[in-house]
Amino acid sequence: MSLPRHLLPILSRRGVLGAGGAALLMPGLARAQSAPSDDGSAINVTPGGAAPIPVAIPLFTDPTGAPSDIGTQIAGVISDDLGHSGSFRPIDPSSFVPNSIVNGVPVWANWSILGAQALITGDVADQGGGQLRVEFRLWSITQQKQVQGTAYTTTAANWRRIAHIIGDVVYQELIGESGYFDSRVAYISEAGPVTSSVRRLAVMDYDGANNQFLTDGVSMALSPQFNPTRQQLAFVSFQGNNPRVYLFDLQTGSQSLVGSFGEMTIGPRFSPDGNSLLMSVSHGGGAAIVKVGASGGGMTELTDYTSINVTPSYSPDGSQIVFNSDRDGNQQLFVMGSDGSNPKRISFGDGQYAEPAWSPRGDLIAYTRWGSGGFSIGVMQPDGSGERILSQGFLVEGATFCPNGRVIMFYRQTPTENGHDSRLVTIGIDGFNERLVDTPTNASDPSWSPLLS
Amino acid sequence: MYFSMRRSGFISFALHALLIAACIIALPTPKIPQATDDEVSFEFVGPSKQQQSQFTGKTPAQNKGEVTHNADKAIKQPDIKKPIVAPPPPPPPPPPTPNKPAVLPKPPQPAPPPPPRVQTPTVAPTPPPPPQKPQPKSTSTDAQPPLPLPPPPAPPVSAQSTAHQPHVVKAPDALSKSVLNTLQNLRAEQNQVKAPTSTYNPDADSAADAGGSKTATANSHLSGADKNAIGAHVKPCFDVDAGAPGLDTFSVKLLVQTDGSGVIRDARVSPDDQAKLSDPIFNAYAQRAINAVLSYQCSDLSSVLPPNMLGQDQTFLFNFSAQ
Repeated sequence: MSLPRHLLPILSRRGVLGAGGAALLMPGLARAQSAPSDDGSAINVTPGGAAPIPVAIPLFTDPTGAPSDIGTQIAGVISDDLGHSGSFRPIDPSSFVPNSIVNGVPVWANWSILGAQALITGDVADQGGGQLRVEFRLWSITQQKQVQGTAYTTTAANWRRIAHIIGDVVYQELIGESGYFDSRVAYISEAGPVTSSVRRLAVMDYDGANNQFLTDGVSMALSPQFNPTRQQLAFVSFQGNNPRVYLFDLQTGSQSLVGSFGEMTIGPRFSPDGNSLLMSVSHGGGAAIVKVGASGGGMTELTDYTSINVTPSYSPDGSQIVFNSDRDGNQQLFVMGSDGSNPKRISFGDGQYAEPAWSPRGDLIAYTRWGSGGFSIGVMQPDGSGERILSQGFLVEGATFCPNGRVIMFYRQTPTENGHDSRLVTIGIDGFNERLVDTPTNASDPSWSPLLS
Repeated sequence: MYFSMRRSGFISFALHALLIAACIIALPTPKIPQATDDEVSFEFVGPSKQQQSQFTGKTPAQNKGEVTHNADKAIKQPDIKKPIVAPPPPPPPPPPTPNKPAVLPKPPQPAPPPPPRVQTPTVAPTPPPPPQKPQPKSTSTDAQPPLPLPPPPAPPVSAQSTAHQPHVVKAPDALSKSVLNTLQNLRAEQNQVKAPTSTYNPDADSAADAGGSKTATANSHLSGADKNAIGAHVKPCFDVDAGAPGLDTFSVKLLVQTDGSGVIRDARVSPDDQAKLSDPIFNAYAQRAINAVLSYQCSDLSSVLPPNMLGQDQTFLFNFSAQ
C-alpha cells in the first residue's frame, strides 16, 4: 500500500531538512553529493500531476480540405467526448495556427508550440446513396508519428455514432483502456406536477443526444437496467397499480412480465452474462432477493423475507452480490456469494447506505448515503475500505457506472418553487469533472449500457 | 323476421369491419427504437506515400498490426451487420523486439535531423532555406535549439592562375587504382603500427569480456545533485492517469538520448521494461513518460546538465515511477 499522497510533501520536506542539516554538520558529505555517482543509477522522475492530455482536434473537412458541415459536427462531438472524460483537454481551436496540416501531415512545430501531445485529423467523404466515409488519424505530436488511422463507412444519419467510436479509439490508444462514448443510457423521464408526474422509460446516447421515449407514461415506470449482452431492458412498471419487473426488447419494442412472484417485484439487475436476473420480491412486510432466469423461470431465493433486502448488484465476475438490507436495524450494504452464502456487512459510516452498484472494473462499489448531512454519492472498495464521497446534494441517488468504470452517472434533485428539478449528472470516480447531461424533461434512475461496439 | 335479422347482421358486420379498419389506419404504430442496429463498416488506414515522404518523426510508427501504411491499399472490412458486434479485434501485437519494429512494412521516412524547435509558429511549410554560412554553435538560448553541427568547411578553392602548371606525380604507382595496388593499400592500412588506445568502458552493463552493452549510459558521470536537478526539470511534464488501475505499482525505465546541446532527441523504453508494454495500460503510462521527455517544455536539459556533458550525444537512463 502506498503512502497517502498528502504525507509525501511532509516526508520529502523532512528529508530535505535532514539532508541539509547533515550537510552543514559534515561538509565532506556535501562535497560527496556533488561528486559523480559511481553506481550509474537512473535519473528518477516522479509525477508532476495528473493533468489531462492536451489534444488538438481541428475540424474535419471534406477530402479536398474544404469545410464540411458534418465534419465540423463530428469534430465537435469527439472534442466533447474527450473533454467529458476528464482525461483529455481539448485545445481551443481559436489558437490553432492556420495551414498546420499540409498534404495530410501535421506541421509538428505548429502543434507542439500549443502544448498538444496528440492531434486528431480527419475528413468526411460523401460516397453517394446516403453513405459517408469518415477517415481519421491520431498523431502523437511529441513523438511525431501517426498512432492510428481508421476509416468508417456508414449512413449519414449515423455520423454521431462514428464520432463516438473515434473518441473511443483515441481513448483506447492514449489511456490504455476501452472508452465509453459509444454507449447509451436508459432513464426515467418525469414530466408534469410532482403529485401526478408522468414517468416514462426513455433511452438516449450517453451524452443526452438521440433521446427516445419507450413507454407512453400511462403506467409509471421505474428502475431501468440494461442487459449487458442483449438489446434489452428490465424495468419496473406499475401496470394495474401492481409494481412488477418487465423486460423491454429494444429491437421490437415488446414488453413482457418477468414472472408473478410475491406481492411486488422491484429493483431488477442482470447477471454479467445476461442470462439471469436478480430482483427483490416483497412478502409479508419483508423483501427477499431472488434470482430468476431472464425469461422469468426458475426462481431461487438468495435471502429470506425477515428483513428488507433490495437493490442487488453482481460483481463483474458474477461470484458476488452487493445488496442493501435493514437486517442490522437500518439500511446498510452487504456482500454475499452469488448463491446467497456468507453475507457480510461492508458499510459502517455515519448514516444509512442504499442503491449499491458494482463497478465493471470490479474495484469499487458506488452507493447512496444519507444522514444528517443530506445525501451523498460515494464509492468504496468491495471490502468496505477506502470510502470516498464524490458528490453531495439535497437528493443524489441512483449511481450507475460507465462501461469502463471511470465515470459514474446519477441524478441530482433540487427543490424549486414549483416542485423540483431533477437532472442527470456524471462525475469521475476521482470526484472531479462533474457535468450535467441534457435531457428534455426531469430525469432519474439512470442505467448505463455496455459499449455498443 | 328472418330477413330483418339477416339485414341487421350484415349491418353489424359491416360496422364492425369499418371500425376495425379505422383503428388499423388511424392508431399510431408504436415506433420501435432502432438506434443501435445501424451498420458501420470500418477499415484501417495509414499514411499515404505522399504523407510518408513528409514524415519527419524521429521514431517509426508504432508496431501495430492493424495499421496499413497505404491508404490506397487499405482492405475494407466486411460490413458489420449488427452494431452490437464488436469490430474484429486487432491481431495481438507481436512480442516486443527492442530497437526493431518488426511488422511494419516500412516505417515513415525518418528525418535525419530532428525538427528544430521554434518559438514562433510556422504558418505553412516553408521552402527549404537557402544555404547558409556555418554559424557558431550556441547552447545558451533556450528558445532556439542549436542547429545541427555545421558541415566541415570546404577547403578554399583558389582560382587557377594563368601560370598554372600541371601537378607532376612523383610516384604514380602509389596512386594507381589497379586491383592489386588497392589490395596492397588495404593491407597496409590494416597493419597495426600503434598500441591500441581503447580501454574498457566502465559504463557498460556487462563484464569486461562480454562485449559491452547497447544500454550503456552516461549516468555514472552525473552526481546525485545532477540527477535530482534533471528529474526536477522533467517532472512538470510528467503527468499520470490517476484513474489507471495499478498505477501505484508502475515504473518504467527509458533510455534518453540528448544531442550535443543537451536537448533530448530520442527516448525509448529500456529493454528491461519492453516486455511490460504488452499491457496497454502500462504502455500508455510509458508513452506518457516518453512524451514528458520529448515535450517542448522539458526536452532541453542544457541548463541542468553539467557543462562537461555537453558537446556530444549522451544517453541517460531515466526511471519514471508513479510513486
